[in-house]
Amino acid sequence: MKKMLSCLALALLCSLSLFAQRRRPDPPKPEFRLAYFGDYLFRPGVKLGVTYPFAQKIKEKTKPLNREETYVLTKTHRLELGGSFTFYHHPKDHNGLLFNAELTWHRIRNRSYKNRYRHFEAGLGVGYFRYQLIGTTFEPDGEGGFNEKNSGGGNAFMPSIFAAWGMNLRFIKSADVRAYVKPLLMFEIPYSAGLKTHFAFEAGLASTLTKNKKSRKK
Amino acid sequence: MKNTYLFLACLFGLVSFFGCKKDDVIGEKVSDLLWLEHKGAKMPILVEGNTASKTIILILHGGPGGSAKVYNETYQSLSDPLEEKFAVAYWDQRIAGNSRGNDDLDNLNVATVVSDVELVVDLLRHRYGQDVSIFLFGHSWGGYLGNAFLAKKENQQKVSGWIDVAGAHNIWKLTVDGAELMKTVAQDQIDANVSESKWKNIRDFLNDLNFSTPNIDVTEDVNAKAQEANGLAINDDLIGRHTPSGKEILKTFFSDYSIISEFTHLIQTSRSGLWEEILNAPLTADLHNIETPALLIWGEYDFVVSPTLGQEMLDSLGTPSDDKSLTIFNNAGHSPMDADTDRFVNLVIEFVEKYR
Repeated sequence: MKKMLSCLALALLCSLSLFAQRRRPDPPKPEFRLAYFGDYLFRPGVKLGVTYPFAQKIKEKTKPLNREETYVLTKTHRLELGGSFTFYHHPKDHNGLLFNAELTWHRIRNRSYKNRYRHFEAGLGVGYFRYQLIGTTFEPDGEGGFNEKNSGGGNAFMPSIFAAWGMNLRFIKSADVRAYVKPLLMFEIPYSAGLKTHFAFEAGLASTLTKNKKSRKK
Repeated sequence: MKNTYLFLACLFGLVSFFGCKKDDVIGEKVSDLLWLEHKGAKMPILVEGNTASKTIILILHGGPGGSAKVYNETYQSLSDPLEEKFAVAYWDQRIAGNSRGNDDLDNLNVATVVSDVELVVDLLRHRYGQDVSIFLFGHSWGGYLGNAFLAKKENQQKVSGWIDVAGAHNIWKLTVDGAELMKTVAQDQIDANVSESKWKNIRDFLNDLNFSTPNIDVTEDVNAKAQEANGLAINDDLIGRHTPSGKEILKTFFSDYSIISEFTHLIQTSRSGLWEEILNAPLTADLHNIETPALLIWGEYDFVVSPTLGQEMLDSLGTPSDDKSLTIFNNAGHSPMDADTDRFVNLVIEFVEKYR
């Protein structure tokens, strides 16, 4: 009987400690992003964006950490809708403005004994691309002369696919901030007599702009 | 909401600031970017160098679908000395290089591209004064284009000289003669036991082709083999190579030149009917109408456009014999400027100085 009671107590303790490691899931919050954007990596630009999670599912699994302890592996899956604005500069060619809407599948992994959150995102976007030509644009006037255009440029449709990898910045204790890198494949349509593929790279910070709980307690 | 409008206004202001930067267009070290909008295409013309010299060399790049900016970015040993003395206009043709717009493959035909050249020449005069001397510098397909432009008598009045570097004025002749040259060189290399098996493959492949009537597939096959033979001849030290300097490589990464745009356009061009059109419209019969002073430069081992085309041009041009010359670079292929850049530059400068 004593043995049974002690086993029950041990099991209760273990489950209590297990629950203690679980955190109540935070309700999804919009996340703001600021990033370096490089069209073909080296044509510099800046990207501002916001994403809003509209669906979320959390899976938790208890896994052995060593012979005596266990930990909880939490995987959060989200579907997010986002909007972004990008500006980049292609020297001696054009300045690009890109307004983008993105649908993202976002996975966050965390092991309960660590304060590290690993993020992976994949998704697709649709965008409106406006390019402003650098220099002076001329158009023949049909009478042997030329008209100088005030605003040479054009518009294009720019769908994209992307993946991103990120990690929370643990050294920023006061707020929830993560760094991420995001390669993108974008398709400029029309481009001359077809389409053009842009390889772009984004590296930046994302945050919900909320203070961490521990930091608030302080 | 007010803040959003303010934010957007700032952004558009930023774009306008970058987009409308305008420098003085006449000077010794000018960099002036013009765009020509014509029939759906937006074509960049980057004019760099000494516009105060009142002399402009207009680059007609190869391809079709290539880029003029290559000569500016990866051939600085060529462009720098030319820009010091004259101005050089790097024009990317429609559906080529960094050109853009909402174009149509049907517009990629000789008549439209020649009308583009006419407009570019007129625009350069409009921008830099009617008294500027303009020299055409055509390489490969640019050679075809320059000849097609000059075949119109009225266009000859607009330019002071014609520099044709391995110009492709007769596609079927270059196919047949290029194959013959490759077979001859292949046999020499096989006899000398140099890269024997590779040259044998090229020779045997060419021997199996049927050259009885002009055929675009045969032209494409020979062109592909010419590229292969060119690489092989470089490895065998028959052809000198241009090794880009560190500065040139760096400039390629951080510059306006876009290899992806060029690649995209080469694919688009291959889907057009332009190759078929120029195959069936050799310009040999029109050459006698051209009386513009001409400098012709070819490479001895040019498998793409055989030096026999240079000789045909020299013989056929209507230009007085004192005002035309053919220089064949030994140890050179389709880009003779690679083999001996200094000599190439000196020839061009001498010619331009003489006729400007």
